[in-house]
Amino acid sequence: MRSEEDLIRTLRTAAGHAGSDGLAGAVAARRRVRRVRQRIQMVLAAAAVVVVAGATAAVLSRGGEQVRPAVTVTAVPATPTPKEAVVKQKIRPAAEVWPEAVFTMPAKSADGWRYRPVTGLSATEVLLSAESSFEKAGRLEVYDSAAKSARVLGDVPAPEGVKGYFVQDFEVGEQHIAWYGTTPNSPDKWADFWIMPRAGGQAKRVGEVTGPMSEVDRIGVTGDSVVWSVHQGGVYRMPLTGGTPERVADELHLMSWPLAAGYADRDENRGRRQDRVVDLETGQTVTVPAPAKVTSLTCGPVWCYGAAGDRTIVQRHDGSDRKDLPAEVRMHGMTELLGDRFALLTAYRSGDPAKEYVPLAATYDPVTGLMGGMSRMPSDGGGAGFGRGISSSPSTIVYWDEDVRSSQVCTTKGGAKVCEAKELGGGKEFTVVNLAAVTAGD
Amino acid sequence: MDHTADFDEFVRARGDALLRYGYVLSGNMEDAADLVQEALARLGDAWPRVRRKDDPEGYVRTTMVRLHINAWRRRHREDLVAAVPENGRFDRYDDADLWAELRQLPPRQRAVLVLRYYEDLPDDRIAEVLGVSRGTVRSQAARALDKLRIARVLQEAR
Repeated sequence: MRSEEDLIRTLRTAAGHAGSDGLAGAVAARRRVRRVRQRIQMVLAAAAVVVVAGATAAVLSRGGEQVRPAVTVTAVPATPTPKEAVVKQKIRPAAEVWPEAVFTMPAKSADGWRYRPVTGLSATEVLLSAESSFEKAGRLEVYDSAAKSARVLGDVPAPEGVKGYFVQDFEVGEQHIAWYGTTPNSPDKWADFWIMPRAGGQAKRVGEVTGPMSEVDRIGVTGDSVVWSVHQGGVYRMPLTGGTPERVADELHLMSWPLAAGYADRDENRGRRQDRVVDLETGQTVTVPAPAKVTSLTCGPVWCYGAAGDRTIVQRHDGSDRKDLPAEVRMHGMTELLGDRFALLTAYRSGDPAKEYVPLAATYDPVTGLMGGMSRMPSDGGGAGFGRGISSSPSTIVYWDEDVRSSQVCTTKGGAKVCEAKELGGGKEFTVVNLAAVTAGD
Repeated sequence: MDHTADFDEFVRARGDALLRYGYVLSGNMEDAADLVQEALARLGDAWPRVRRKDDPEGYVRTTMVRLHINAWRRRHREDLVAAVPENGRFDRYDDADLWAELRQLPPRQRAVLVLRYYEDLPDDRIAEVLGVSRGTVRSQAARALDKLRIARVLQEAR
């Protein structure tokens, strides 16, 4: 069973796709001739300036055919205001901004299992989940970017007699790696918890839970317990030796053990906004202030990110060091934080991908003010992608496959046009940004 | 007063946010661009009145949702599966599935979910925007949530 939170997150993430690379394709695909009055033409041109932001040439070519977008960009005011000029600032690739953090690695293990990065264990080590088939985690491995080799930590088994079992997020603790699994396609509410020594070895099943307690949103692992929070709010703990779960806190959501965050009451104007960060070991609570216009404020271990109109703000938990992020980025869907202090951001389209580097996503370092672009908008008009590490705490990893392309394939069935996105190529190598390497010297 | 400059500034400032709204409403970029442009064109016609009397953004968003439900309905039947080239960009696979299922919902049910969970509007305001009763909003939302296999937790609290 899904939750309303899943719906909110999906809608916001989808919305984040709209302003960036989606529009170029849409404009190219727009072949309908519109009945347009002269006045409206001017209006539409103005709209096009905003949404296309100079990203697409006035004429796009696809399959040798000249496709003229329904709106042209010719009616741009002759003298742009300084506000518009700001958007022209370029985002450089992460590999140039943080060369120590970017490397390539195989996308598959020697025996052909597909890797899915989890998070950085250090500046040079990345925890990987190896999957025998789609989303079926079978093994944990560590890739060492200095030695350029992977080593196996241990198997990730499925519990016996459980149908439709899927491993969900992993979490790296000081001594253990923990994870949980669920049966997402079954109506029964159920989850189980596992640990493996961080150095590798045999996985051990800690225990299982049912009912509301099994609707896990994040997990953590301490020296003696698995800790988790649930979608409805509330934190639980179960000893590593198994046993009865114990409720540790009400209402809160785990962020990264021992930190948890609480949400302000729903306010129709301010979205879902965190207003406190609690250290569950010490009981210390920091009230998180935010300017009135800030929505969706979400905190990581040190910094919080929020939306303020079309700008994004960042501040420390106590509201200090608050600043606006550069105008060319905004939060990616619901705030997705990365590592201790970064957030996954969507870059506004800022140039022609055939002529220059145009990132699909970006991340910003509030400590240094540096910003690096992730993945690349392809110059051929097709789609591309990127992924985020699947740790429960904010992952330090963003990765993508430079060779993969998605393109729209349309067929006509019974008079109706049916289009779908097909992925082509790729599967050999990932480009990985490990933000743990950026913060390693701190 | 130069209305045109004023209106252009509004379009520049809000176009991107409106496009995102159009995208979650319609489920594809082509229709999102259509919705935004048609609604902005209508706003342009009504600009002197709307700017003076009420909130232009509210006007444009209401126009978009009504266009989405009415004029766009027929075409969606023919073109149910439009391309989502960004499919791979959901960080969770479940979300990509949920997005795909959302796009299959009838326009009105989808609009209710977008207004409630994306725009965060209370049910009585949704009823006003759609021109239906609050009871209809609740039943449409319940039906849509059930179809998507989403537990109604917040809904019960509303």
